[in-house]
Amino acid sequence: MTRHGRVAVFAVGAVGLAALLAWGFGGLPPIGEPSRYGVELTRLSLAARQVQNAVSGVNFDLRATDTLIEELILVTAATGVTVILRRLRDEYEQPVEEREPLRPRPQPVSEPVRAVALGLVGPVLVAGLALIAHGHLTPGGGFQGGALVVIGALVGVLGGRAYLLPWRGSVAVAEAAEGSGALAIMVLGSVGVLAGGAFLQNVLPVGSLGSLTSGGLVALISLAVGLAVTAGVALVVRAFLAEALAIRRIRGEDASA
Amino acid sequence: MISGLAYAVAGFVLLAGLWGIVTSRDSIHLVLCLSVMQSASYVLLLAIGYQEGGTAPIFHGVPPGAPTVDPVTQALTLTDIVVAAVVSALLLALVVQAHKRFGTRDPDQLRVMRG
Repeated sequence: MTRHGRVAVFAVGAVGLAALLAWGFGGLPPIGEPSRYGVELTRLSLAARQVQNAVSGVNFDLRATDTLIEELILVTAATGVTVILRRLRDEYEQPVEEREPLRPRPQPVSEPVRAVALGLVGPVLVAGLALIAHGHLTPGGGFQGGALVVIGALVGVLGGRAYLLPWRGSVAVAEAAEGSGALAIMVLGSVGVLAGGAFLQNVLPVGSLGSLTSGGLVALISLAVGLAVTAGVALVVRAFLAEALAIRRIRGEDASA
Repeated sequence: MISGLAYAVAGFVLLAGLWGIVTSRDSIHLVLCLSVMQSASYVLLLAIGYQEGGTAPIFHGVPPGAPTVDPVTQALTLTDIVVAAVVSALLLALVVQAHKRFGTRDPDQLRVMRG
């Protein structure tokens, strides 16, 4: 189909879709009014679970089964990216001496920008770990914190003119960490079953509102999610870095040139 | 009035992203357009959970009982973002491999399947 033909078909479909959306949005409740579930779950988070952050209360306690499945989606996706970006039969890993450092083209990053980037690594890593550890108290949690930890490391890679990949065993360590994070959620969930309740039921002592030990299961699942997300995102980033830095076609010219 | 606006923004972002996908000449641009489409669902979810005069549902320095926006839609938005990131990562990995095999990122040039 030509480009013009495709745009014409799209225009017809888009008008229909817009009409459907307008019709559907018209049936939604008006914005700005309190939702019954939201009010009830916020109250439950505070009173029954002593969790200050009601969003984490929902994710890591009231809706924890969904979070476990989401975690498994992440594991699957990290595996998928690793498999898609594997070294193919007609490719080899370039020796370190021959590699070129990653540098943004057309202009390399200036020295002051690199210095600032390297200086940011530590604070960003600490901020990420703090987000993971305080997910039940302040904005944050395992997902946000885990992503931030990897971003901290990535800022270092981009600012540091790195051409070394993480050592070979790091992939196995990250894969193990990712699996352990997902496994930890299942083990934590079984505590509820062993205590005579349901899977992922929050049967641990909930402490008092605002303290680090409050929330029972919430803080622990946030930690497990933080571990799995850190490892999963790190695996994805490593796969892309390896592709850019080291994986080359065996015969013929460099595929990325 | 504000309600109509939030829904209109969600619908517009969805259609704008779809337009980008349909007319894309670069696979990376195409993946980013898909991210734009997914952003429409964030706007929609946050709009549904919005409460007039409510704060974030995080009671750090906020007295319990204060009106807050809906934590359920906020949690769903977080899930949504995670799924969007995962989809983008997988698609970008495919773009990298397709570029290596076919030497182009133009989706229109990728018609022929090769082993």
